[in-house]
Amino acid sequence: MRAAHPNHLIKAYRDLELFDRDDQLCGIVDDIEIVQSEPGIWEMTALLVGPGARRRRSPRWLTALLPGRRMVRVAAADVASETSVVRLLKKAEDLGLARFEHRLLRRLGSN
Amino acid sequence: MKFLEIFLGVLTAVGGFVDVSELVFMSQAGSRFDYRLLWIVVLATIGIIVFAEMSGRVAAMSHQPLFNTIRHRLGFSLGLLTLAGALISTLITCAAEIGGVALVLQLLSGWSYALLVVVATALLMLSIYLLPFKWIERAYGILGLTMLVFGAAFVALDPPWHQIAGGLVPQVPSGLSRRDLLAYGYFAVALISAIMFPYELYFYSSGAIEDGWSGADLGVNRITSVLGLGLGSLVAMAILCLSAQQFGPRGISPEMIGSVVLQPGLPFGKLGILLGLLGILFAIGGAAIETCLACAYGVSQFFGWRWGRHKKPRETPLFTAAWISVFLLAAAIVLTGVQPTELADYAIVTSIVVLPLSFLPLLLVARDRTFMREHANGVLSNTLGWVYYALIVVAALAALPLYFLTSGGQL
Repeated sequence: MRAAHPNHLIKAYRDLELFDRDDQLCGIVDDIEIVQSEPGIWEMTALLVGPGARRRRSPRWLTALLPGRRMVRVAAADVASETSVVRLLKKAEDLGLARFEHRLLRRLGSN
Repeated sequence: MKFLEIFLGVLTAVGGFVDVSELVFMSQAGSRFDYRLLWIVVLATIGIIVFAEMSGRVAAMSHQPLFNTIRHRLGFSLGLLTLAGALISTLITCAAEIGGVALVLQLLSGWSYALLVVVATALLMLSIYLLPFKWIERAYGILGLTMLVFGAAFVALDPPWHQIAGGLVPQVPSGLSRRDLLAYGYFAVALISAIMFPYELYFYSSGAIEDGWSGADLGVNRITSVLGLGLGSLVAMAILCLSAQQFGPRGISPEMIGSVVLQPGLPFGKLGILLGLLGILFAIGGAAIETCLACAYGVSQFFGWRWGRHKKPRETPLFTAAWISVFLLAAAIVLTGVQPTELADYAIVTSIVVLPLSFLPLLLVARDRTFMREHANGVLSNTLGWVYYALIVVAALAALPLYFLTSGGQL
């Protein structure tokens, strides 16, 4: 997605729910990667998910409270659409999203 | 089919309107200030109707759960602060409800209170685990309709209509001492908080998403919130009026559930008391479930875990662990020996402080045409929303000073 201002991209993606191709909730967009593709035009190149992504935008007291550095980068090419939720073209497991929950689901025999 | 859906939804909302905090504060307010706080009940009821309708509409149109909306609009840090506040206030409320259920069971059985706290918690957990989502709320709400016995008692006791009508007029009573005026202010804030508990919105909006609401359900949403909450508040008003009639003149301050339940006993004898007890049991049992699930919804939606009771518990492992933990923590709080009425006091104060942060993102998204399209707030919803938001902010700012100045309304 491209926009005339980085804030438009932030509003369009950041902190929204992520659903994989099987329509399973697999996390929240914790931050996004943006580049200026041409003068005055900004482009989202990747979604960043995980505590490592949150660290970049959280005050120090909060990162001390919620530790963790893991971060998954989902390339823009794997993003299907965005409305009030963000949908992906691949399965969460293939992208390394919601790993802990998937491990639990496997252990419970629900995946 | 739609009619049945609306009918059951309204009945559920009526039967589930009253919770332990409302029970305590309505009867204390009536006993202390007779009918002079009735207008606050009407004011707060319109407020919760406005925000409940808005949260149902946002859920139906954007499919964005409330705690995700809060994070998206407030950002991670402020959103997390809101989540923490909401969890604390809702957990305390859940503990108050469990304690209330145990007290009613004790009045019915005479068994030990501590044992009944454990039994009540286990039964409530089983209800969530075994009942299909739609019937969790409906079963308790519809059984809670026996609370209507309070309404019947109110009518049977020949109410002083002209005094009641006077209580519906917004007022700051004249002739009260400074101390009583402060207590009046505290009870006004407490009633607003008890009626506009934020957990009600967390639960209502999450439930709308669980039920798969879409644009076609906006009518159900509107009728359920207006009629269900409106009629439900009549039961709460009946409790306030009965207290003003029966307790106030005798100088009784009903601080226990056991006192409140005597109200229907006067016109209907033992049967009235029994129906009142059963009504309270199911109404606050339902509220315990709602508060517990509201905590689990909140944390799951904020961190993006799979959530929902329409799925099997093993398909949502973190969400399931969250609601089980909330129940266990709430039961542990009750078992420390804190009285449910004392917990209700803390719940009221903490909830009103969290309200502004919970309601602001909802207002912002409900007026956003990018998300809501033609169903965004109109002039009326926007005006009412912002007027009530201002009222909530004032109440939130006044809550703590009034709590300390009046020792929780005891002065």
